[in-house]
Amino acid sequence: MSEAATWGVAIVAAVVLVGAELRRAAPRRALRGALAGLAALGLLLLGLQPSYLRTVAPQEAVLVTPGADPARVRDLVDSLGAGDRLYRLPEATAAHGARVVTPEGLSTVAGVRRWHVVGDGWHPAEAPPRGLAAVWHPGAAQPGIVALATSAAPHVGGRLTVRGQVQAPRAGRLLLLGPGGAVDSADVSGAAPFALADTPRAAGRQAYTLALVAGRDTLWREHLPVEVRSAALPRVLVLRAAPDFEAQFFKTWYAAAGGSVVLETTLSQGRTLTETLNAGAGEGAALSRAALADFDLVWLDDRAWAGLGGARATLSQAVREGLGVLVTPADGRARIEAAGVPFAVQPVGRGAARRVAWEGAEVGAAPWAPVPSALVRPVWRDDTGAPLAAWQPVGQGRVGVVAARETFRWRLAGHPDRYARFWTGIVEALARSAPSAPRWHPVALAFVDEPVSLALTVEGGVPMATLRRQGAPPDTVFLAQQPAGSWTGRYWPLAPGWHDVEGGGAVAAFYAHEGTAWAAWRQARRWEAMAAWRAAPTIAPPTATATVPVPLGWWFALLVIGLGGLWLERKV
Amino acid sequence: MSAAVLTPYVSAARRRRRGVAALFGLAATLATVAAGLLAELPSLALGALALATAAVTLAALEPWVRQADAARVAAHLSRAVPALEESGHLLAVPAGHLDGLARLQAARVAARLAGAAVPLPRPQLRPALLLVAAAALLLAGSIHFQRPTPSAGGGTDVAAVAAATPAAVIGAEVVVTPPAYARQPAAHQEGLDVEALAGARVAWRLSVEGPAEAAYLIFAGADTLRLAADGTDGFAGSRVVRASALYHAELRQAGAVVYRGAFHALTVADDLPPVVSLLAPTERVVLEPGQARRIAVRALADDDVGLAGARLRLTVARGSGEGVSFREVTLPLAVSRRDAHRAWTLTTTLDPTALALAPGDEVYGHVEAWDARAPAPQQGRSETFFVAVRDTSAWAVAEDVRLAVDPVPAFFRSQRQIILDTEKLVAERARLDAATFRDRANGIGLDQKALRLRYGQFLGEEYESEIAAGTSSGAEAAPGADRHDDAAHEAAGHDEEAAHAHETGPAPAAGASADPAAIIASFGHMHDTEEGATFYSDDIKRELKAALAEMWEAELRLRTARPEEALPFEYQALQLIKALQQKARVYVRRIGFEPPPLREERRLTGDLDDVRSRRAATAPAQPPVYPEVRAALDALAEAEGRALTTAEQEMLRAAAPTLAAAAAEAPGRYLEALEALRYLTTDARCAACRRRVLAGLWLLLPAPQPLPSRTVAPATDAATRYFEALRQGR
Repeated sequence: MSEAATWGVAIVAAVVLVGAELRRAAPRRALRGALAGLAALGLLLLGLQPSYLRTVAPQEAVLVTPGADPARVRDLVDSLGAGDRLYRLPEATAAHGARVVTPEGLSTVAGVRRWHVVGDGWHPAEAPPRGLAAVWHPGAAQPGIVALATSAAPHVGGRLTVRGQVQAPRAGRLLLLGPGGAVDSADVSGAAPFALADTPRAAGRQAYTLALVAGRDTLWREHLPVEVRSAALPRVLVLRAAPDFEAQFFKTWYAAAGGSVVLETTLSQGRTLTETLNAGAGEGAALSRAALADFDLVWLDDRAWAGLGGARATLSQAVREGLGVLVTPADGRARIEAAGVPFAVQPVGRGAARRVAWEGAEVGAAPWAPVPSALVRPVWRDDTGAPLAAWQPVGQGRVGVVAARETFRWRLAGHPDRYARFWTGIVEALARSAPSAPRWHPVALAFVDEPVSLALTVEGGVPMATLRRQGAPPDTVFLAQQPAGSWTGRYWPLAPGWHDVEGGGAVAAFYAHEGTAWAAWRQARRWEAMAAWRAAPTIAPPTATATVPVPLGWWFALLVIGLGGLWLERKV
Repeated sequence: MSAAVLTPYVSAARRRRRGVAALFGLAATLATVAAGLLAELPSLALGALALATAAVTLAALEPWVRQADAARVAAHLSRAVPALEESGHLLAVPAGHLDGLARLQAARVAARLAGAAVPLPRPQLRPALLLVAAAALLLAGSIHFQRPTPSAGGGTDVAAVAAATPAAVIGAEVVVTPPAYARQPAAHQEGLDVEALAGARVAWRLSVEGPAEAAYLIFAGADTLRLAADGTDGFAGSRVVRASALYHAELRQAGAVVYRGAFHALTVADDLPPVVSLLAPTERVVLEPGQARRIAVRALADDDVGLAGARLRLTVARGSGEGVSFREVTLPLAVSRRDAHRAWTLTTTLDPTALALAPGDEVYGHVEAWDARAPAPQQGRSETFFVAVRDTSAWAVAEDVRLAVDPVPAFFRSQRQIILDTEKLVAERARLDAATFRDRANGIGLDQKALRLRYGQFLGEEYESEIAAGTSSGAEAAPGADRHDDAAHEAAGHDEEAAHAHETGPAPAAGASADPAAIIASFGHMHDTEEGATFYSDDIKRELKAALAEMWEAELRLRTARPEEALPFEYQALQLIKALQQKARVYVRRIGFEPPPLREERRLTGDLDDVRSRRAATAPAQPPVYPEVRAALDALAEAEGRALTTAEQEMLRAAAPTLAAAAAEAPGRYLEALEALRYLTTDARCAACRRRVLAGLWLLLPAPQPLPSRTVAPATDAATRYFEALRQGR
């Protein structure tokens, strides 16, 4: 019988009982009324079943997280007697009798003195407030890649590097597979760091794969989609006091690759030959501030520097604002005044010129080398370790020198790749950087049904971002403002595939993997989150109260007393 | 008689019933054919089934046809013809069985029947027609669903046709007949991957199963070979192959492609020219004048098909300087096959006498061999070998010219004259007293020294020191001023002060310093560098030094009155000088930059009025190679997870020729991708094909050279504000 029906029957019975006693024509009406009332009260309380609150001492609870061993969960529940205090995270495997709780909600669960977290723990982005008391019972470590870092923005002709750490179940070979097959590999065994690389051949979203093979067995393989961009070649201005082969070869190579380059060569007093290749850069006629803004790198020899005259101050100012300057001094002067900053060099070797080896190839070199210091950063070193090209920061820009001479001979000798690698390193190190804002911060590996943290650096308010996936309607993520001009948001991908993020004038993309991919990496992230969270417990658990029902025997006794009294009253 | 009256009516009734039965049979047959088509029965089985159905239907209805007998016809007539007065049944009874009245009535009825219009019964015609119509509809429907649907572009859906008509190539036989000049037998090859020599005739025969009226071999590059039916179950054709290609077989039926085979490689190997290696002589052969030594010439020739002939070509050079004459001599070679391999040994013997070689002549020879390729044989040749006959005469005058010495009158004797004088002195020794002998020997020695210094000019006028250092065995080899006599200085053109400086320099103690060059540099004075004083090549310098060393040895012995011992050195010096003269015969025409003539009147004036600054703008950026391949890669990336659109399939088709060309060069690398691309253009969802195509197209792209790219500044907001504050505070 339901509670309401019981309550209704009790009321009716009480009313009928009291009414019948009061209507009976008999003496001792008051006594009968009191006895009938007592019985009716017992009857009503039996139907009402009243209870009271009592404070309960905190207990220990069990939280099931992904990767939890069911046997371990059962043992804990049995040993702690926590059958009614078994909880699980939403993404964890369902456990019998477990109540679902989010990490953020752990601190609100009352009456829990300490949590026993079984499994890999929670997602780093969903960690509960620090200071909760917990004991972590991790599961077995999964083999696979536990740490991964790839080039932030690989471009065609650049280096796509894939570094990380692998937990190999047995010795094998880790392969980096590009769209066309294996491109790099490394022998790994146990817990080992690795570094693999490739030079992407085409722009676009390319499918790379990391696979661990041992003999004929492929132990596991993980999908690694990469967005490859076209090279954004810096714009270069070359100033020469006289024609020289090095500048001519550089101009030819750089322009053929699609770069904008202006070569201004002094032919005689006040007479110059200005070659503009691949329009887009400024013409470099007068070194004004506006003209220098069109370039990312200025390369000049020391005689050209000396001939700048009043434009030196403009060039120095442009360097402080981000421009890169490369100087090729012709002699061994001890200090080279470039862009207003002394760049110390020291004599090396004897005679006017020397031969050094760079990556096993011989090249001429000036009889000096940059003096190592905390600020001077080498771009290339020769095979003896002496700096062959180096730079140091000046304001927001960079000033560098190159001691190598006649590197064009590499091209003549049939080694264009060596030449391109040498100058690519120098240009990339010195050229003005692209503006940093607005931009979306790169997203590490993302997974379906796991939160992806989106971060945008932009000046001005951009309250939301739009996410697009092919074949699905766009989603909107509202962003929260953080200090220092950044905005953050959180997004749970619904399906695997590339996601485009747009907002604040910046676009970015990330690939959401299946929820089962990269198991070892995801486990490592949860373990890191657990290790970081298990600090000293400082949060007092909320006080728990329990509802205790009054034993029904008391009300039954009241009913019996009332009814017994009425029976005795009739007998007496 | 009365029964005979009914016979035509019975026959007509049965004919009508048979017609109806035939309609039923037709309907049943049509329905059976329709069901057979839907069940994709072979045509032969379908025909047999139709016939059987018709026969069974007709046989089953035959009893019904025969039910139209005389009694039924008579009953019908009684109902249909009132004039018969319900007595038609009397006509069905034979006349003998009727009594008198009945016979009369039968006769009356028969007479009335003859003049009456009798309608015959129409048994079940309408249902039969309805059944036929329904069966025809069923058949039409089955045919509609069974026939391939023409595609929108007018082409043929290959897959649908293939499913309906499973024609296929079940066997292939390829016979490669090498070109006639190869003299090799025809070879049978298994499978359709063919390897053949260029110019070979390749004959294909395809065994075909299923209906196909034409067969083609489609070669990459839109070249097609139609195979002719050979009268059995196959097609055959042949062609002469010149270049490698990819091809596939295609069968057609009624203009539609019913079978398309996989790609196969036709690899054509070019006939390479012979490779001739010279075995002997491998070094320069120098014959003494009058020496009749025969020189064996041996060479080894390799050819992949066969050698047709070989010869020895000699060029005999005679004369020196501007007067060199050449003549060509061709000699046959003995050709013998070396072993089972395709190598031949070529031998002959060179006879200097037969060639009429004179002293000073040089012979340059090489072996030529040619193969049997038709129409134009290919030729290979060996390295050149040299044979020279030493010339020991008529050099004294020539050497001055050859070595470009200042043609002032020579105050010194020639080397040959020194030899003659020495020989004469030795011969007259017995008649001379000791002092005279010593004086004459010393005189010859002085002549030798003058000659040596004269040649020493070509090495920078200071060669004497080198000789001294290199010939320390004699008494005069010791360093000191006595090596610098006046004659030497006069001949060399030195002034006395310079000679004096040599003499007065303190002589270093032996072993006092570990670096002799440093000691010389600190105590001596530098004249011009010996090695850099002339433009002679290193080997000429080396031989000249050797000649001077020999002269020094001869001089040493002459000055010490030992002419007999000096003679060998004099001869050796003569030989070396003669060899140097021969080398003067070789020269290279000068080439190089020819500057425009200078205008002397404008030199060094500093006039720049006509010189202007110049600007030039070009755009030499090279477009990326294989744009169609890149577009196809983009299309594949864009279509990830879904079927390719028609436009994307078109992009793949556009990349197919490039991939096919690459596959023809490297089938192992690209053939699988090409095959997958072909399937992908018909099956837009083939995931495995996508991976193969992607890999193939990716490998087609050349490895990029390293390129710089602008990096994104990792500046934090704090850094930005810092530099902004610097900028504003400036």
